[in-house]
Amino acid sequence: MRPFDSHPDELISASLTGDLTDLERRELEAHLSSCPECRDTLEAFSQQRQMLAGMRQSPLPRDLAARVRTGIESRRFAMPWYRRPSGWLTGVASVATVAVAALLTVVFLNGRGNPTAPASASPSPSPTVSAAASASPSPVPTAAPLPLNMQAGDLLYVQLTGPIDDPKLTVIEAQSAAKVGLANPGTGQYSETKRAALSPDGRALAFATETGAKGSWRIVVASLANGATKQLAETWPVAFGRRIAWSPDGRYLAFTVASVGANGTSDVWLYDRTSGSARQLTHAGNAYFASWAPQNADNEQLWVSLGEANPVSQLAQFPTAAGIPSDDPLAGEATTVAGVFAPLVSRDGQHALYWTGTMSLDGTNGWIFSKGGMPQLTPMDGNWKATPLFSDLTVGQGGEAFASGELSWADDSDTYAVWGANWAGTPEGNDYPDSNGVYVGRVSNGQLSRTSAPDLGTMTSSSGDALYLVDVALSPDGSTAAVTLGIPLPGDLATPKSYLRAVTVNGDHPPADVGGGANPQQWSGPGVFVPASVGG
Amino acid sequence: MQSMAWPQLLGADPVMGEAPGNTALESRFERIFAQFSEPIFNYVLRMVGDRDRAADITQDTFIKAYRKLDTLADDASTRSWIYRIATNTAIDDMRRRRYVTPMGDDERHNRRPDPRPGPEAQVLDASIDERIQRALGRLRPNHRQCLVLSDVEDMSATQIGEVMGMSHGAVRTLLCRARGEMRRELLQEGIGS
Repeated sequence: MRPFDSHPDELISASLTGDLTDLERRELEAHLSSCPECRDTLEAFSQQRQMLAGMRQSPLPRDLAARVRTGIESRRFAMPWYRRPSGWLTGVASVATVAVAALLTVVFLNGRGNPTAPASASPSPSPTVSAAASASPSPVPTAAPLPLNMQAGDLLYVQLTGPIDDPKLTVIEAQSAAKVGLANPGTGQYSETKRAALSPDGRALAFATETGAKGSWRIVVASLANGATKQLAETWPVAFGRRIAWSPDGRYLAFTVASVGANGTSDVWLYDRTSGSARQLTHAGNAYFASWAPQNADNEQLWVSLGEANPVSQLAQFPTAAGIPSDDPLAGEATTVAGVFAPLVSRDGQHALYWTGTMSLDGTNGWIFSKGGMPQLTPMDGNWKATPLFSDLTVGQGGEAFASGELSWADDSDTYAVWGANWAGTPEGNDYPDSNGVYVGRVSNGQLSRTSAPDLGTMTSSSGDALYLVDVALSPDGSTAAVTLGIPLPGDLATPKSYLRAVTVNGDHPPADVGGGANPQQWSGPGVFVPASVGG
Repeated sequence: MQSMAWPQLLGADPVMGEAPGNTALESRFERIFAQFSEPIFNYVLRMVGDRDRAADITQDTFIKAYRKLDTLADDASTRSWIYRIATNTAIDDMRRRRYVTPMGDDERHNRRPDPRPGPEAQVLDASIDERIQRALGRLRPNHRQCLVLSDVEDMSATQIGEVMGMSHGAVRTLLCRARGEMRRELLQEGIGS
């Protein structure tokens, strides 16, 4: 009889189901007779099995058979979770809290390509230096030729290819197919990209990529000239914390670093291309990035919103040349506007989109609207006179209102989009408002309605599953939306796939699949349009 | 086991392109639904910890099963076949919601007082169930999956391997790790030793 080198837990486990050979059983019995620790393990495993087997069975929902029948007959699945608003307003505490410490790892680079310590989990944003990129992205605009042969108005997109254990990210110019491969900063594999922002000079791309099984996002900045990358932060994609945006002059990148759980926090961080470093800007714990306002003389202006029952927004200002301020700019005499959340100012500074309503802190989604949430439009005249974006949606007694959503402007300062909007309470009609819909309007053309959603093309993949909306980017002239639509996968190890679809807002042309075509075998998106400022 | 009757025949099926009145297909599906709908629902419920999500996933599982019915070679393999579809559908759902804690919605339900009258023991049982489910919800998905298949669904390592697409040896190893992890999680819930 061979002795065991260590406690034979695997045999103990297998013995519970009789899954042992005769030899294994004899060996285990002999060992158990002399090892009290393994007898404890056996006792614990046995109790555990009994408890699990004794859990109460839940009755089947009464309507399940009818739902299955309806689903089969209607050729589609029931509305999946990501299209249903219910659950968004649910508080979450304990498990998320436990998970936070392991999940929130904030790392940023010092921008010099220095040797680094490995990334480590931290319960709060930390200035720990992380794994280095292969080289620093070009920090300032240069006279060098534009990368990827890009011209203003072109569509670029990120593409994730390769096997699941060795994924590659590439940035592709849709027209010419010019491409640049992106180095991996080395703190984890690339996964689905969820957001992207092109710097105004067209030379740097910031993007958010999932971190595989964890579900958090890594914020990465890449040079499109040579594919060098830097990881700026790891964050949790809370509802209003997913935006990444370059300042109008392209020097600074703003993003939100959030944790989740009952004690989840959120603060705004900035990355400075000139110094190559990132730093936490706010320390409020409930701050979300909203948007850059046009520069005021030599000052950067950034609207930051604070999630509270009655939310407020504050205008952070700091001298452009001084770099990221070390003091919290919200701690001083910042302009404060009550009742305004996540204002998004048009490029010309004439209008803003923003949210109104009463908020509450959700353990997984951060601060979201719990009552009366509605997107608004206002002229930027200082009065914040709200005009609801939708003409045919009203806050209802049954809790009908938006919990959260995404807003976007086109560079024309006229065209805007509402998408990924989560409507709580009873829908106002079939799939309206639709969290998978993109509602496009123009300041010059009145409010949005259910007819404002351009045709996104079939929302059914080749396998028949409903697609899910990932990201929307509007072209500078407001004529086209680049819509990333994820394809549900059969399992954790399947290769991520998505459509990147060019959709004409006016329906002039049918939607066209870019990148992966009509039968994508990889993840393409998000798309970003080259702004008019490029080459200027 | 409670079974649920399939409400009438499906009629014309635009998904499969089957002609109306394909009674052999329909009656086979009816049998599968009647036999497995409740076990699958409970299996998924253990996986995701929330009734609404479990209902959605169960619904999608049976729609997929209907579509793939022609791939089911023989009735003997129905159980592992339907559990495999349910497993993949649940993993897909968890993958899409992975930034949402699996127990999130259930926390809300758990805090609701049970309106049913009952003896003290029933309340105590419910409390233990809740704690076990919380511990389950904190396991890694593949640990949770194989543990539920083994100890709740009483599947052998070979059957679990068919469901999870793993070898017998790999399942044994995974199951051992899952039991160890579950032991620690149960201790956090004040259960076990």
